[in-house]
Amino acid sequence: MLSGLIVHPIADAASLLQSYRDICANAPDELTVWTVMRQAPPLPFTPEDWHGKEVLIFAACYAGDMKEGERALRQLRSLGRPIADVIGPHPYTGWQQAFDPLLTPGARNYWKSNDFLHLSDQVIESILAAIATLPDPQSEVFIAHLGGAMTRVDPAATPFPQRNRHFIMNVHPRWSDPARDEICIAWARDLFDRTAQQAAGSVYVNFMPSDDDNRIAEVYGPNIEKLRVIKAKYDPENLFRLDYNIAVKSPVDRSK
Amino acid sequence: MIIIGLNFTLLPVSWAATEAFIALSRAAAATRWTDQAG
Repeated sequence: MLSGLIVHPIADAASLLQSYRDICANAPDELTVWTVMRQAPPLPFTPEDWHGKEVLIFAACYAGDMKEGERALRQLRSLGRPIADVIGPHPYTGWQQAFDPLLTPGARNYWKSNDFLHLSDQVIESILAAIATLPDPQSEVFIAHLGGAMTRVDPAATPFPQRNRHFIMNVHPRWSDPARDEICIAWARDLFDRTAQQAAGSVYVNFMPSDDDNRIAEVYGPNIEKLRVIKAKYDPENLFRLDYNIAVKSPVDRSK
Repeated sequence: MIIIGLNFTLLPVSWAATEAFIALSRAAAATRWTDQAG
């Protein structure tokens, strides 16, 4: 696949994000682009004097013909004045593992996520204000773009209900010192709260922290009723009760 | 097994596949996993 990163100074982020939302609106099925905002990690393809400075990174992936991909990515690659552009052919597994060096075990993490049907200027402004106050060099905000084939599935056809083209914002503080738990978690919650009014009312379950279990109805929408029936049929004792539980109204107690 | 902690988290698949997956997961848990607090 044709994939890779395009790194920009955060100073250009507002206009880049406005262009990004337009590019996503017209993207072919084969193309998806995520946007990551964080301090530049010391990766070999970014000039050393940018390491530790705030940047916007487009993470693009075109799953199809290379020449078509070059065409599909042309507009994105022509934006602004990139610090680095390392788009190129990769095996799928290479791209899948591209971010693993930034996510080594042992760190403390907290995630908070909102979906948006439209990436408004107000949301962009809130995100960039948060990037200006990153609580730790490892922390980031990323925006995932979903669209194409997934929008052509009936929302009731599978448990996953959000079938509109949309963006997922994930606020991801990541840090090492337990003494900073409160500060880092508060930073994530603050951005989440500031953008909540613009949010779509759905959420992707894997981007929820453990204290978000009150949002399970947002995850599955009306499909939760069907999931409850399946849950009651196969797991009435509520053995599968960890993480984000589909509640059983009256769990069966077979210990007596 | 990863399915032990699953609560329908990754299911953009058909309802038939969803139900089959949950049924198999639950059956596997019944035979291979002791239900422990937490």
